[in-house]
Formats: sequence, C-alpha cells, structure tokens
Amino acid sequence: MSDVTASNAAAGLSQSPALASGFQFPSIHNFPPFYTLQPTASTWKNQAELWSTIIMRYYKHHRLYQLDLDDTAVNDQLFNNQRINRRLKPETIQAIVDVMVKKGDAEWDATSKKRRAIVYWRKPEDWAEMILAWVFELGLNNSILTFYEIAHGEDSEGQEFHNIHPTVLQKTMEVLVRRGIAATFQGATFEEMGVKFFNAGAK
Amino acid sequence: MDRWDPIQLTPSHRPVPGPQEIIQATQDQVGLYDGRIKAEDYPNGTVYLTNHRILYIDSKDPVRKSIGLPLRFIHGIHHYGGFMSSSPKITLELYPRPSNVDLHALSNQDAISGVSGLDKTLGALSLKSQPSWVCKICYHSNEGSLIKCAVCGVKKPARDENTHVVKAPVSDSFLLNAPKDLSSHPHNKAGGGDDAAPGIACPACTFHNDPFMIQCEICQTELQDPQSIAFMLDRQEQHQRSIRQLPSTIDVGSSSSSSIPSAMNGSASNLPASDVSTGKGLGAGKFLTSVTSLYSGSVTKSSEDANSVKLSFRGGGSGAFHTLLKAAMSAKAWESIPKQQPEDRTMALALNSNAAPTPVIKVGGISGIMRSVETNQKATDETLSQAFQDLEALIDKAAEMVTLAENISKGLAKSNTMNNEETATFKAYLLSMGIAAPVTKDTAGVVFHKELARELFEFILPVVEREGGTMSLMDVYCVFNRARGVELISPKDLHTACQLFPELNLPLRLRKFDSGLLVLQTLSRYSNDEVSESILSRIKNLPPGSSLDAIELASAVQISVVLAQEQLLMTEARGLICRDESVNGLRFYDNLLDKWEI
Repeated sequence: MSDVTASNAAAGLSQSPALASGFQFPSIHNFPPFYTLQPTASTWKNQAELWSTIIMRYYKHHRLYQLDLDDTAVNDQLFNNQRINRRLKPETIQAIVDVMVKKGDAEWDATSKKRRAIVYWRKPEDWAEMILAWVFELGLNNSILTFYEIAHGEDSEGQEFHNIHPTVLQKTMEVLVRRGIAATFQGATFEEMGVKFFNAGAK
Repeated sequence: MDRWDPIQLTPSHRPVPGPQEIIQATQDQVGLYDGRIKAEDYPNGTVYLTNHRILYIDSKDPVRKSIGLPLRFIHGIHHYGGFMSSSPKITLELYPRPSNVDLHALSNQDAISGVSGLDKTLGALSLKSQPSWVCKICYHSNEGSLIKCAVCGVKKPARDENTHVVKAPVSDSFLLNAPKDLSSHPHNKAGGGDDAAPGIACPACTFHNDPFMIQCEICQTELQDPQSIAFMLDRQEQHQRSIRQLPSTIDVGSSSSSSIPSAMNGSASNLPASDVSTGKGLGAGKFLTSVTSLYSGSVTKSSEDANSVKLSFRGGGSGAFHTLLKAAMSAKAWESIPKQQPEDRTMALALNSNAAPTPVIKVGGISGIMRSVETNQKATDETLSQAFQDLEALIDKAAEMVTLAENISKGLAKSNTMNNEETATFKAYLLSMGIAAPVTKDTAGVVFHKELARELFEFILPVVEREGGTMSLMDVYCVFNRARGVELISPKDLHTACQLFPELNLPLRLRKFDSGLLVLQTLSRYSNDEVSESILSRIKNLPPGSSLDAIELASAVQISVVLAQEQLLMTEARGLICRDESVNGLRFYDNLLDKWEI
C-alpha cells in the first residue's frame, strides 16, 4: 500500500478525499488519460482492467447492481471527475463493460441493446452459497420462499443480498437449480416466483 | 585496362566530376572487355559518360573497382548492335600509350629483359618527339601519336619498310621506329648511299637540318635531340663492336656496317635464347625489332587488346550511349578546359563570357586595385544580366550562376561587414542553389531514379541532419527542387528515388507514418527506440503530472508539428505513453495505466 502511495506521489496524482459514503477512489481516478479510450491495445487492456476494478469496488460499496448508459450514470462521480474536469464518454463505458462481460464480471441486459448491464461484483455462485447458508441458518429449507421474501423480506434484512437485483437473484437461483439444491416455481410476477430448498443441499 | 585510372567517388558512390565536367549519360549493367577478353574485375557496373571521361563504377565493389578513361585517349568508336545472346557492345579504340607498349614488349619477351635500360631510354626518346606523318593515301598530315590516319583511317606506314626486312607491328611501330630511325643514319652515312651531310634529316619532310636545330626549318617538326642521338649512336656502335667479338654463331663477318641489320635479322632468328641474353644491351633497338617479329602474331594481338576496350551493354541502352559518346568526342570538351585558378573564377567567368579576353593591365597601387575591382564588378554585372535575359539563357548560365553564388558566399565568410542575421539569410538563399549539374532523365536514362536517389542523398543529408534527422517529404521536395533550379522533378520521381535508398545502401530512409505522412529520416533516426525513449524521458523529466503535446515537442526538438505528432503517436503505440483527449486537445502522459496496481 505504501508503494502505491509513493508511486502516486511520484506521478503527481493527488488522492481524492473519501466520499460521504466512505468510498475512496484510487488516485488513478485523477489521472486525465484514464478518461480517454487508449488506442494502444496493451495500454487499453490495463486501463479497462483498472476501470472494471474501480467499478466493481464502487458498486459493491454502494450495493449497486445495474449500470445504465444514460445521463445519470455518465454524470455519476464514478465516471465524471469534476476535480480534473474529465468524464468517460458513454462509448468508453460501453467498451469497458464489454471487457467486464468477457471476464464474467458483468452481463448486458439482452433487451437493452448494450444500454444496460448488470455488474456482478459478486458471482452468482457466491450469492448462491450465501443465500443457501442463510436459508439453512433460518431453517427455511423444505419450505417454499418467494423471490420477494429473499430479496426484500424482513428475514433477509441485514444480509448482503438484501435488495439484490432481480436478475442477479434469478441467476443465483438458476445456479442452485442446476446443482439440484433448489426448485423454482412459476409465479404471476417475478417477485411471486417461488423457490424450495432441499435438504440435500445441506452440508 | 591499364589506361583506366581509379576515380574519386562521393559517399553515395557517384563519380566526383572534375571542373567543367558534366555527366551526359548513365547506363547500368555494363561490363568491360579488355580487348577481346572479358575484364574479370569489371563484370557489371554503371557507366557514366561525361564530357571528359568514361567512368565505370562497379555495382558490387564501387569503392575499389571504380575507374575512369579520359575521352582524349580514344580515337575510334565502333558500335555493335548485338546478336542473339551477345549483348550490344561499343568498342573504344585507344591511342597507344608508349609506356604501355614498352611494358607489353618486355613482358612478352623476357629473354631480352636485359635491354630494358636502353629500351626505356629509347622509349622516352620516341615519346619526346613523335614526328608527325603524312598519310600516303590522302596526304593528311597526322599527329605523330596517331597510328591511323585521322581522315581515311589508313595505317601509318612504317617509315623505312623499304630498306629494312623487318616490319614491325603497326601499333608498336612508333617505339620500334625510333631505334630504326636512329640506326638508319649511321648506315646511310657509312654506306654513302644517301646524303652524308652532318645535318639531321627531318622525320617529316626529310629536309636535312643543321645539327643544332631543334625544329625543322621547313616544316617546324620537332627534331630529335642531336645530343641524345649522338649518345645513341655511340652506344650502338659499341654494341656492334661487341657483336663482332662474339663467337661465330652470329655471322657478323660483313665489314660494311650497312649489312649489319639484315645480317642480324637473319641470324637473330637462329639465336638460342641464352645467346640473346648474353648479348645484353646489344643493339637493343634492332634486337627488339627482330625478336618482336618472331612474336609478331601474339604481339599484334596483345597490342590490339591493349589498345581497345569494349563496353558490353547487357541492359541495353548502347545506342543512346553511342550517340552521346560520339557527340562528346566531337565536342572535345577537354581541349577547352580553362586553366584559371578557382579563386579567380569570377574574373575568369567574365573573361569567358566576354569572349575577347581583356588584357590584364598590371598597374600597381591603389589605381590598380580599383581597376581590378571595377573589372570584377563589370564582369559580374554582365553575367547576371545575361543570365536573366530569358529562361533559356538562365539554363545555359546555371553553372556559372552557381559558381557565382559560391564565390559570393565565400566572400561573405571572409568579410563580416554585414550583420549576422542578414548574412545568414543570404547564405541560406545561396546554399539552396547548390546542384550544378542535376541528374535528368536525359543524362541518366534507365538509371535515372537510382542516380536521382544518389544525388538527392548527397544534397539532402546535411539538410536533414540540420533539421534533426527527420524531414517531411514535402519539405524535401521543395528544397530539392529549388536546388535543382530549372530541372524540376515530379513528386513521383522523388518518391521513387527515396524508395531506392535501402537498395543503394544509403543511410537515409523514407518512412511512412500510420497517418500516411511521408518523411525522410537518417538511419540513426530511423530507429523507433531512440525516438520513443527520448520522448519518454522528456515526459518523465517534466514536473510530476505534466504532459506533452505535439506543439511543445516540436518546438523543443525543432521538428515540424506533424512530425512531432507522429513521433508521439509512435511512442504511444509502443505503450510508453498514454493520451488524454480533452477540450485542450490531445496531450500525452507517462503511461501510468500500464503499471498501475490497485
């Protein structure tokens, strides 16, 4: 960590103050070329890597799941650094997300034509473990839960997956179903979908 | 081949022209023949025809195998059009060179090598006074050095072929004639056949001159130095005496000295080699003559070979070359080489252009200096006004104007009367007028682009170096064409020529940036590493967090902005720097993105 600080100082990049939310951008966030899509392949690779790391951290910190390429996202302090007066262009964000999608860190919403993406700052498999652990802890196995109960129910309050994005939740359930630990039941709406965890899933 | 001399080359392997020398034609893929035999060392090269010389520059080893033959050595040209697989050839017949023949005679006859001392004296003597001769067919009076009549081409008659049995090969005749001429006098005297007057018979008109005459009283032909003749005669008599003392293998018995030649001729052929060598220094002229006759077949051949050179045009182009060669031969530019000192050129120019040379009035003191200054000014004025009368005249005067420009800049270098800035500007104008005899399609033919590339290289290298090792092709085009004056070239020719640099091994490269910008770079600059490293260190030396753009780089290293931009982009492409596009334009930073870890 001290190395990084030293190199930051050498590069002349100042440290951004921590946000009100407690999140602190790394100082590369104040590096003007960071906001230009680098035409050199190797540089771009590193740049996209850095951006995806920052995006994931930022999303994780703020429990965000969905990235919309609209004015709000583009004007977000994540992509718009008013200190150095630089912002990422929507095309650049799109290119970064493309890189993230390739790595499995994000996924384009199929219907959005690359205008909306889900950021997996935690992988569906990890979510699955987490939810499963919570279900068994509460002894909710062998009973049917709705998706709403998992994402927004009183029991899940305080859990990391509270307010989880529906798409992420669905992906997670798909993982569990594939592993034969759970079965889903169709509901009228997405939130009315039900899921039953089997005992076999217990460790 | 021994009449060809090594020549000076420029760094790009073009010939260095002498004063007033202009390249008139160029042809590549030409091989040389020494006589009828291929000259092993000169199989393939570029041949230049100038108004003074023919130059051969080997394509493989131009430094060591580049030779030149002055046109004045040539007396005949034959053109052979080529047939089937035989390439077209031009045969150049050369005037024999005395020392050359001498060498030949000696190398062919080791047995009589002992006579070389005297032989050389004789050779020198014959060289000193080659009498002019009159053609017996057309009665044209030819120069002594000619072996064929200049008008009708009939061979020079061996002068005393009637009285002597031996008939020397014609091409060697002047050497061999000399001793014969000498020997004929005592014989004639002794035999009492001819005039016994103590005078010297003129070799041209046969008038008997007073022994103290240097030139013939009648025809002004140079007479042979009586003293050296006397010396020769003396030596010869000694030899004859020594022959008489020799064992009887040689039938010297005849008391009358007039019979000696024929007796010797008769016996010499019977002489064993050892006996010839014991006759060291004896009647060298005679011996040479007689022994030569034994070898006459081979000697004739070798002397023919020595006196002709063939150029084999494997790549074609012999016809045009032949025409130009003939033109150059008839122009005889070498006869009108002005002999003035280079520093006196302006003056000389004036004299030349005035046609009537003004007598140099030697007046001392201030008035003398004033007058010479005045004359100089007048001459310069005249040259200038003539040159600018019309374009045609300007073309004719181009060479003179360049000389003038050079002189003025030399003068400027000496005097510091003008202020420096003015001088610099003026010098720049003069310097950019540099190319006196530009390569043109007419003079260079098929090798035009190669020649152009060489010329361009010589001209542009210092300019490119001054510009920091890189110059855009547009700038090159402007500067080069300005220097060429009226012989403008097209951009396409320039481009083609530039592409030939690697092939010609010249340390300049045409380089195309990704944007399509074409530049000329010196080879050292051509390396991307060097440029990008220097840019990177320049950026790193800036205060932390600063950046560089093309304009700043351009002004820092004195290159054009376009080029600076290209160099930055190239450095970026190598991943050393990264860009920042903003309202402030495109700027470049040290590539923190590449090594950043979070």
